[in-house]
Amino acid sequence: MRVHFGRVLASAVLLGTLAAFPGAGPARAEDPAGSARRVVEETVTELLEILAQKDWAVEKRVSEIEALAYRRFDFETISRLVLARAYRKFSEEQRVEFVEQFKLHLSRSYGNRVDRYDQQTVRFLGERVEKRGDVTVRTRIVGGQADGIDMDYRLRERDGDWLVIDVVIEGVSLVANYRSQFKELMSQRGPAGLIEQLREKNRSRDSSGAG
Amino acid sequence: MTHRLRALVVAIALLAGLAATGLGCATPQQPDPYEGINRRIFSFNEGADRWLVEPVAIGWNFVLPRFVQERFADFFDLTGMPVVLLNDLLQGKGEDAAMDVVRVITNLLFGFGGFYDTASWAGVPLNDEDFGQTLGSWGVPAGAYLMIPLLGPTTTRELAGFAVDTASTPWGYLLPGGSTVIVTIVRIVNFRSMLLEEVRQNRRDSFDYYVFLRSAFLQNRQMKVEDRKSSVEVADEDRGAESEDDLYYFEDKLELDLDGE
Repeated sequence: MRVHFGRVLASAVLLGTLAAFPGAGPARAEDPAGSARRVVEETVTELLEILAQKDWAVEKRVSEIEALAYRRFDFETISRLVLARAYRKFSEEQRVEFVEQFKLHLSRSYGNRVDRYDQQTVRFLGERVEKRGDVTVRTRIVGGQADGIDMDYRLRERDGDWLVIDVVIEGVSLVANYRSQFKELMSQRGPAGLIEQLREKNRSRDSSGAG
Repeated sequence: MTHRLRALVVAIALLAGLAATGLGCATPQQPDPYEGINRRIFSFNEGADRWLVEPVAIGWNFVLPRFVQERFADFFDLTGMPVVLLNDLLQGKGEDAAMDVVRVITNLLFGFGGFYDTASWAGVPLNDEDFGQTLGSWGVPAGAYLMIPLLGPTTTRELAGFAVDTASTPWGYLLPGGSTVIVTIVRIVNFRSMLLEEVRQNRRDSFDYYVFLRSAFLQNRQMKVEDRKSSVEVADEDRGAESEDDLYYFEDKLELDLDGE
């Protein structure tokens, strides 16, 4: 039990973050799986390049990675999936605010961790077209502290671009994990309370610096 | 002492099994019927970690470089191989079982007595099998989510699996009782010392750490039972988590049961 628990924690770690990044690109309609895979490949390459800039200040690397996440993730869809049914209880302004704060939370929590996982390469294990047109691109981290961890990216096409809508690390879906956390919070505190808590977390991160 | 401990664990497993089949029935929609008690045990465990395990692990981490911690980890992986081998056989995975044997021999002969995982380096994968997964592969559902004092998260099925894994680990029978206790303590401390920053950040970044851990644990176990098919590929029944449709296309379903709510 301890052995798997290690894996769980390791995946949880990466999950609480976002993990190596995929996203959009000039994807044409030709072959969905191929386009999605290219997007993930480009993003991972870009990420590894940023991480290799050892002479940059940590803050610079972190903000570059945040910017990369902003381009490659469909935070609107992610927010909708994470809130699920509760989404209906949000007003239009609350939705916009939630997406903004959640985006900040996800990219920061990733950006601030990523430096520790720098001696890695990423192996592509294949891709799969899901029932309704999403594409899952499967990768495995090789080397570094996260060696051997499987990371799947689920992408959905939006206006001709393939964007990441979920990251599944060692079987643990980011969307599912946040959804279950927010579900309990929503029932206790409602949309306004949830947004406030997100804001609080983002603020405390600001004051505690890059760490 | 270890034998009594083992008996205790088996007893807990049996009790938990009875409780889960008889009383609080876990369903994929409600995998955590004992949440109230679980949360109380969880805060006890968190306290034990903060005041005992984590400080010791910080000391361990301060004294020993990462490289040495990894050597320990590799060695402990090797000591777990009898259980992996047994469960590969129970699941009819002949090829994996053969690789397990190759791995043990390789690491013993060319890995400085098991302290260096040469096998992985040479492309022999480290299989991760245990009796909980074997039960799952036989169709036993995960059961209720349980938080065990000092041991952490598990489910009815995984707890039974853990009891069998403990009983089928040969070292307790071969080595004097005291030494296995010490080895277990070292293993836990070493393991925890490799996750200091991770746990800290998970605690800080999660909105409800209890739920965060539960979700991660259940999904991860599910994937292992299904053998690394991505969790989204798993059949919709008994995921302990949400089905693919629930997760990614909930809006379609929403239309259907909007009136029902």
